[in-house]
Amino acid sequence: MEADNAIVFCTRPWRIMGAAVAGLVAITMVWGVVILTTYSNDDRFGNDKTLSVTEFMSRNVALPGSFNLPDVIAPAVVAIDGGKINGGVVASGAIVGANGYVLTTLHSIEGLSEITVHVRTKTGIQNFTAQVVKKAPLHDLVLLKIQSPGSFLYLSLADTVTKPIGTVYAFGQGTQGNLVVRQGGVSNQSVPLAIEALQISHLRSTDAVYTWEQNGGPVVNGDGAIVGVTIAVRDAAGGVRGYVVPADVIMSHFRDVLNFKTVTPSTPASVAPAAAITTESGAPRMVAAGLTPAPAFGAGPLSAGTITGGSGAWWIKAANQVGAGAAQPTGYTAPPGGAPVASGVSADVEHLLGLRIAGFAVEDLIGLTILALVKGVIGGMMTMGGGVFLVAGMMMFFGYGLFLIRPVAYLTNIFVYSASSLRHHRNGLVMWDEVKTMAPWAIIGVIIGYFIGNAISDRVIEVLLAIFAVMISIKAAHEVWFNESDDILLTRNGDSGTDDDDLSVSHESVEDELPPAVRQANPFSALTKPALLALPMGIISGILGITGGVIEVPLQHYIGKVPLKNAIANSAVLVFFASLTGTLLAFIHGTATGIIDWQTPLTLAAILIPASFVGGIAGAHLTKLAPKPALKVVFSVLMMAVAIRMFIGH
Amino acid sequence: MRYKNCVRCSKYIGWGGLVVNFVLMLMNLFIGLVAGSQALVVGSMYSLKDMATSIFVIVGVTVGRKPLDREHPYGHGKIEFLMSLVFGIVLLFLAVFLLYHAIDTLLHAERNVAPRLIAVWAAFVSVLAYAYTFYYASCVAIESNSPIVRMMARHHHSDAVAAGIAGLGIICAHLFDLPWVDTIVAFFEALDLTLLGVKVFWDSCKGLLDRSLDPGIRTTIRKIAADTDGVREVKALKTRLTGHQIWSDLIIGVDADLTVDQAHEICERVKARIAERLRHVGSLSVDAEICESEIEKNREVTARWRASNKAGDEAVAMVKP
Repeated sequence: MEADNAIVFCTRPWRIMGAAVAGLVAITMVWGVVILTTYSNDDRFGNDKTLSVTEFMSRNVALPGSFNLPDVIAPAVVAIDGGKINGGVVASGAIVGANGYVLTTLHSIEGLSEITVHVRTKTGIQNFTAQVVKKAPLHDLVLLKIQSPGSFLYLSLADTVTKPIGTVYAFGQGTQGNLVVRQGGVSNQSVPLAIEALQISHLRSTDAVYTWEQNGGPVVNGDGAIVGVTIAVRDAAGGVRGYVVPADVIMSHFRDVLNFKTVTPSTPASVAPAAAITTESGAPRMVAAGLTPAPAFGAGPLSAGTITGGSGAWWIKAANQVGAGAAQPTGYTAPPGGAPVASGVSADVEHLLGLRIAGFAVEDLIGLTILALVKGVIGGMMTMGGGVFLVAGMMMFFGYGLFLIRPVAYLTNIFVYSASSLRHHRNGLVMWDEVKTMAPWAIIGVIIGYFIGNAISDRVIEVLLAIFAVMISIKAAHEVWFNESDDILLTRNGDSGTDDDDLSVSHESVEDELPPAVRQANPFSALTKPALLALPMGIISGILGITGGVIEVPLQHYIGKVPLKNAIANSAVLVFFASLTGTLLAFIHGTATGIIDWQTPLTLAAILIPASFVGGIAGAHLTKLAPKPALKVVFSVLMMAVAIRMFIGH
Repeated sequence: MRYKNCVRCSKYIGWGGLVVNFVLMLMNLFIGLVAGSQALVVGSMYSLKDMATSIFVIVGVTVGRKPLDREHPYGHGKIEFLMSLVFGIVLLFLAVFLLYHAIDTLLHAERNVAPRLIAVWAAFVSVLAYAYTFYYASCVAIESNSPIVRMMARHHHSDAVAAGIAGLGIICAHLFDLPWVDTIVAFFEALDLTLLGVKVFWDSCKGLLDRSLDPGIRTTIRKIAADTDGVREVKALKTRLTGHQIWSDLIIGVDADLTVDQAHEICERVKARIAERLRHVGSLSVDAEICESEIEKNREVTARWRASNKAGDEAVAMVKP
């Protein structure tokens, strides 16, 4: 018995209606995204936790100009040291993100094994450890993230492109925890700065810097927005000369990892410079807390020993260098036509100010895509070295910190290795019984490795990566030399008839020739064997963010006596589980302790995953075309180059 | 099944429901967060619930109906309970969290901010989408006469109503300047979800512990069995649910003087009658025993026989010496 059907859907214009509903849903999503992208300038999300100091000031419409600028800016000015007792402060810094993002100069933190940030809080100065998010050696800048899930008072960035800069205040935090500030002007034109091999362009010179303690600190305008970051350099006469890395340059370097708050044109510049720091007869006046100017570093005899890290050495270099070319303008406040931009240096940053997609400069975007493509090709052709290349490339070429790289690498590997695991599984190559016993060890290894990686410094990791690159390079060279070229080559799709298969079969036949007793007489117990096979890979994957296939496959093949094709398939599955664990751990632990924000790695992974995929497919096909020994030589050389680059460091 | 599309519709409606609910869940969650509308966020949990239901239906017909194998002689039906147990716990957590959040917001008057107007728009779009799928599912339900599809249509209907209420709440929040209306709507929706979560959790626990079916169905089964020719009484009835299927063990009492063949025939008749009259019977085992009254009779006979034997023994004993 069928009820009366008054609807009869298929006789109605259901397609049009369905399309209309789908269209409405799509419009809603787009609208939501539009709102989301502009949320930083929004009242709804601008509660007191995410409001920047600058916005807070501009909202004070009742009593404009009632702030004492140093008082309101001070909580966002930090001091940075190497975390050692009596190590001393190496630089100042500025908090530029509510989650504890700190801007400072790169040379100051170089060589530090641990970075500590001193933040002014309600309860006095508190120390936090910080991690590098991204380095920008081109402008001697670095973005740090304070390891804390808490919120911090931070500054907005000023518009330095379309607006005149006007009077500025260069802040710094002194060695005694005192605030250092001086009023001054900034040149309208860009000046270059050369310190040995380092050519920094797009700088502005300023006269608001009088002590090295201001180095790395924010240069703030009257609205409380950051105009730039101070680079303090000692000139030949022993005086301190100040340069400012302007806000637009800062933004161009770090917009891919941090959504800066900017002073929007609609915001009225209602706050006049605070009354307390107006100048008398044009002379810059100290408004440091307690009004005692900290002893200027450059004035006294120079001793690098008092500064830890790379800061001291850099200072000496900078002093000598600037002193040599003493033709710098002395009148800092916008000398017309003075300080011409050096040709040849400027070109490298022009792109940074150009077209951007999702916070990335187009060139960076292309660069990252190429990096991932090459990584995929390497992975597809060699089945090793791809991870090392990716991690090393992100560190060296793009300057990302390892804390950011690892979640990105794990996330990318989940996708790449789930696909390859699936393919191996379909070909029946995965030995699930073995994998089941090894997977827990790989997971444990990742967890251990992750925390080890958190504890050791980026420099140690660079060296570790370099060692790995050397290992891979030697392995590839060895394969060429001894002509066992397909020792580690992955067979595609398990097709029979290709030359790879023949060679792989020969390995298997060796296995088969062994008497069963030899194969079964295993010196390891049921527990230690899987641990031995999987734990090292997990730990390495956890520390470095690479897959560890280069040791996993030989381990399984030579110690575990697993046929090569199965060893490759097994380790692909293990890498998948390890990456899954790593991703969960890095995101949960990272966001809970404030090491990372969840958005940044996701954006990076969104670029890298498709490119890795395409590269992997291309790599698997390229193997057929290219002559293999030549390929291996190129690969070996490439890996050695990566290794050398990592050994040298910056 | 009167139209040429009916077969296709009934085949794909499960997947269609899954996709629609997934998209709407994403949209409502996203817009709810962006717009700051708690009611919309809670509304997205309704879509999540429907999505889970669709998944259960799909898994139920694939894994749950897998044939018995050596490792699983009782079938794979319990997977549904296991899944709904997990889902019940997740739903419970989410709902309680949202409930707590709603109460927390209500208690802090300053946190009540009227949501953005995009929330109204999203609620309106959800109503349209759910209405669309409701009509579609209803059409399929009528033509296929499937209870699951009918349930799906009902869910879509209630989701449309919930989204409509959320939209109205947000309009009220703006129109009358009562920002807490949105939170109140969220509160009641979350409360409803919490109760639903408890129910899902409890039902799956019952299923996993092999709890008997409702007394109504048990009485029906008893009655059907008892009314069958040759059945003297129903001695025992055990029922349980495996997935959506009823598994039942039945012991009937028959006359003592029947042959095994005859008793077997009666058992088969009982099975056939139950299978005819009840839906979703997964497995049915009927055993025949001698009915109680006959056993009583037998006991009496035995007792008498024993007694007479005893007497006989005594007589023999007396004779012997």
